[in-house]
Amino acid sequence: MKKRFRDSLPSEWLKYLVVTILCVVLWMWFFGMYHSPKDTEKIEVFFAGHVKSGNAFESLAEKQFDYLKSVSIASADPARKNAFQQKYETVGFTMSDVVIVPESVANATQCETAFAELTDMGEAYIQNEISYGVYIPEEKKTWLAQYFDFTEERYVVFAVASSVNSGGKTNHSFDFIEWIVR
Amino acid sequence: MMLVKDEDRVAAERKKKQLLILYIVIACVYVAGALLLLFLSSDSYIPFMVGDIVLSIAFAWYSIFFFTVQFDYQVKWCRLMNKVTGALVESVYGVFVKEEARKTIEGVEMRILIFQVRDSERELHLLREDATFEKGKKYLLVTQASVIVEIGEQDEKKVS
Repeated sequence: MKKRFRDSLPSEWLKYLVVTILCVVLWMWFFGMYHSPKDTEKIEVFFAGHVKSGNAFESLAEKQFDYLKSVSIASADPARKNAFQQKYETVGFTMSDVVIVPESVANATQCETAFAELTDMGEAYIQNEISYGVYIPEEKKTWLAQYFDFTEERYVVFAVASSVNSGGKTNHSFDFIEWIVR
Repeated sequence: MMLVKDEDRVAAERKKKQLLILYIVIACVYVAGALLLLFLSSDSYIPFMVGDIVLSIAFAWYSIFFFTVQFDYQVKWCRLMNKVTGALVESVYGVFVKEEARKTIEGVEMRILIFQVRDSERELHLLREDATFEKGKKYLLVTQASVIVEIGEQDEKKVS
């Protein structure tokens, strides 16, 4: 049997190599998928502006909440009008839990279709007599400036209405916003 | 002396089934082990993942070996046994000339023996490793599909 195995190696070695690579790749992918955070275990933030390098804010946010396994930030520069609008509408409105935008961007957004109502968090951002967001207080903005580039005077935080964390399955978006602004 | 019997064919078929059952059992154990490691894994899952990778590589290599060498050989051996035991029986007297280099015939390696049968040399195949022949000696050879299945009396007069 040993001889037959040795004789088969010249023609079969590629199969041994391919299955080895496949085993490594497939199991890495499988475990990654199996252990990836559920929607209710992560917060995805969309920021209209530039995020400073490193993952300091994400690490800090993950430590704040026991139930959070992952915090990630997507960003787009409002100065690049078309590209920003596209990313704001696709990533911001549908794939994020929390959105942080300058007041000028908030004024150009139809909050009724995108964001959940936010009350009792601080200075409310109101559109059509409904409170949809909350302004980031100046002292908080100073603290957050170590992680985000604030280029405008005032910024507003919103909870995305389509997120499961905005009252659907959990209130994690609201807890997160409260941590940012209070 | 009987070299190939019908019992050999039956034993070969039985061994083929046993090999297959063994493979299935090992496959079930592998699947159970791999799933156990996956479901037991926590957020720090690297050791469990490495365990699953090692287990999978071992099983995959065994599978390749099983189907390309071990089981493949057994299938060919069974096929040869069926062919030999099902073939027409021939009895001839032959004088042993020499043994040539081994050949692989239908996937099975065989000894190649040259016998002088009547006026011509004939190539016959032998599956047994322990049978020996003396050069120049006459043997009663019982063959099926050119494989020597029995070596009989050397004295012609004793054969009826």
